[in-house]
Amino acid sequence: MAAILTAALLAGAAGGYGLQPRALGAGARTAVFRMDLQQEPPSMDPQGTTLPEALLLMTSMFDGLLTYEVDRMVVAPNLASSYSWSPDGKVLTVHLKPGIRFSNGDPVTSADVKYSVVRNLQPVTKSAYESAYDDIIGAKDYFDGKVTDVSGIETPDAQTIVFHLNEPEGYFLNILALMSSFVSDHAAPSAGDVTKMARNPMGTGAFKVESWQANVSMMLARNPFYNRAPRPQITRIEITFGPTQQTQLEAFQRGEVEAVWGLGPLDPALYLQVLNNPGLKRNYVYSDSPWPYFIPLNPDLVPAFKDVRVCQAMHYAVDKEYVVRKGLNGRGTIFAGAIPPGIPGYDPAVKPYAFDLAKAKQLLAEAGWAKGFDAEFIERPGDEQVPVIVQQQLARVGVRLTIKKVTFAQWFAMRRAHQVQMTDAGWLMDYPDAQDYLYYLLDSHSPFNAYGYRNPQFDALVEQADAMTNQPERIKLYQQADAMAIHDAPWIFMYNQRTDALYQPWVQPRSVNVLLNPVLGFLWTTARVESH
Amino acid sequence: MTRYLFRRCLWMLVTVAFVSVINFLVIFMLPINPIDAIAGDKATPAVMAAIEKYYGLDRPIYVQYGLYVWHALHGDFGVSYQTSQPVAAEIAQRFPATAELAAAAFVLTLVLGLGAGLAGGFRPGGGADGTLTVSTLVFNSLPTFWLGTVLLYVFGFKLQLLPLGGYGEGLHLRHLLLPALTLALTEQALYARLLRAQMFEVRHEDYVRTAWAKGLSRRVVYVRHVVRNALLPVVTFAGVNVANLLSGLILIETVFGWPGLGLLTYQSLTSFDVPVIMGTALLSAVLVVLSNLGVDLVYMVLDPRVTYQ
Repeated sequence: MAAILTAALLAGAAGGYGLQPRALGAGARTAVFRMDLQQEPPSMDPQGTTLPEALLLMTSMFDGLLTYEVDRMVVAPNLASSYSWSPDGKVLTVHLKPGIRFSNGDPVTSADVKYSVVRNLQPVTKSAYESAYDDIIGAKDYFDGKVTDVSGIETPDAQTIVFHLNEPEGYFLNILALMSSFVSDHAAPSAGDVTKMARNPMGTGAFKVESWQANVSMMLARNPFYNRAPRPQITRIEITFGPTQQTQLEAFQRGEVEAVWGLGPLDPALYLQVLNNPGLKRNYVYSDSPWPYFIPLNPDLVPAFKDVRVCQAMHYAVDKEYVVRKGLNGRGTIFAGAIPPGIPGYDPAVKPYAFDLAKAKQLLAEAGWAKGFDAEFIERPGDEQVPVIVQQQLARVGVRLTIKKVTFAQWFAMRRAHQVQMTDAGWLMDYPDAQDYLYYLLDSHSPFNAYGYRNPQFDALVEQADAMTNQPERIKLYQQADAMAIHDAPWIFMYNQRTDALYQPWVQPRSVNVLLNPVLGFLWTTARVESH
Repeated sequence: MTRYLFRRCLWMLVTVAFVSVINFLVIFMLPINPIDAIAGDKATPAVMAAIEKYYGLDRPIYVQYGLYVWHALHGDFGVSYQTSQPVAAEIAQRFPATAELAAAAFVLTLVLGLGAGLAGGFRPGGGADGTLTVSTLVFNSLPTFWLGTVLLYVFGFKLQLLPLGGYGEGLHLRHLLLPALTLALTEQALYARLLRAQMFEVRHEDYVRTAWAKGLSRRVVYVRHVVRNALLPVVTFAGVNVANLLSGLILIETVFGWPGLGLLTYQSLTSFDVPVIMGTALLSAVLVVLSNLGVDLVYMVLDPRVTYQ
């Protein structure tokens, strides 16, 4: 310790850099990953939070039974050694890898898996993903307090977990790869206490909390019991809480952090600074995230949208490339339907609606709306540019939008009450499966379809696909449903948003696929921080 | 005096109770549902209903308020919706950082502000006075978040003399300096102007003319008669100022990533964490009434004519 302090002091005398308390001296910095987060994650309980800050850190400390192959959206075993389905697709048997331990040394057993999954079904946990586990037999009754155990999860021995489902579910494996299925130690002192679990994470990941000074910093060290490949290359992760994104950018330029994450797209003002600074631009990395943005056209509230031709005309009237260029500084990818690029079922051969004003006017005239109509556009807080551009573009075909500004809470409430005519809505992927988009956003039975699209044929196709286990056949049905949605145009399908970040040149590999929900964890086991 | 204190304490309680009622009502009148903030974007109606029941938010507002007061009287200010930690613990955890920043900023403010005020007040219209008047006007007009960002940019990023915000470790004077200085630079202007104006006024009072007539030295006239009397409104201002500083400095703490009550307040407001909003607001109310009491007591020391019954 004294040596490190001396090194830090000497480095401080030599140049400004070493004066910083988090600098450890040149040699010691290798393999340490430092970063800033503006806000400390309020909880480190995998079942209790869905915030991206928490996700970023928890993926270094926790694992689920399943995960995804690096850079591919294919489910792969993680804590599981193997899994198998019963012929009727209703029973899933999962075997645990032997010899896995939590970072406190406790062995991982099937009881830990059951405990962790069942926590989602306890109201006290406040799990946002409760409904994802609804199809497990007995789950709903347990959530409603009618029974004291979830009969559909069996643990015949310490290494085996059996899930019994009410119906076959073609996407169930994805549920077991979700953050909310991360496995916590059921024998840890904090287990079962929501207050304690928020501050005392105990998982099987490559790292564990070494120290956590509330709202100031968190230090993660390697989990000494981690015995799987790949072994992590970095030795420590040091997180400082508090700096704004602007300060983070300055710290990055001073070489004090290894990366700056937008946790979504980087702040627009920050991105402009990156664009205008060649040194920063060199360190800019991004990937297209499967986070679609769209503008719903609610037929229940705007009579004109009852006519498919009007909805299609809205597509032709909006120049999406211009929106991406001007509204997002180019940070978006346009695609045709509701299945974004990267998700199994996405078909690049399906082209998006072209920008064609004449066609738009013609369709409106055919539908009897040649003189246009009025509609209210509820602006999603923080998104000021896109609505105005869309407003200007639709005005050219006579559609008069009134933009209304609301708070996030009002936006939520209006959406829940089905009071939104048009808005700039987005969807953060839960898992890379077409069901996550088509069912949740467009099926008339989904609690998240708040914009009035109802097509029984669409519902039938999606629900049939949801219950299939033959993946290639399943995907074909989703593609048919997607084609139907593209034709019906219940939304203006806009673009996919980018995930971007700044990585120092000494951080390898320079991939930002890291924010793809559960795949995030791979960063912590494969990233290298080279000597600098 | 004892009776006076007793009565004051009673009124303090009434004020705090009143503030708590207003807070509760305002929060409930806002078109915001705290369940949205707790459950997030992806919760189903079933989950939202379960959360509502868990926190008792499905009960009538008067029942909720009654329970809040009952628990608060037992030292339980509820549990943060976001962190699941007790509100009292959250506040206790953040208070030292704010107190530290407030103390540093207050001392710096007094040194700079009273220094500038005295310099201007001794010789109004002089060169020092002109310079100080202009500089106080400038600093008084600068928004703290802007000044803070600029100071961070210059001293933290460009000159690399000081850290880029944050709380630091151990004896973190270097981390404390910029946020305290930012506050002091903007706040001192008010003290300087107030003191200068008061001195200007007091100089023409009869008792000051009498003091001169008695043949007292300039030093005695100023120290004993002018400055002492001119300080009275400054003390009132300082009392309110201290209460404000202690109840958290939302902008400064956010700009500098300082983990105090201001940042907590900001975070609780943006996430609509009602128990924390209530807790921090209540604390502010308590601090304001306490500082007002403190000011009144200091008055007695400064002005012997003031007595309380």
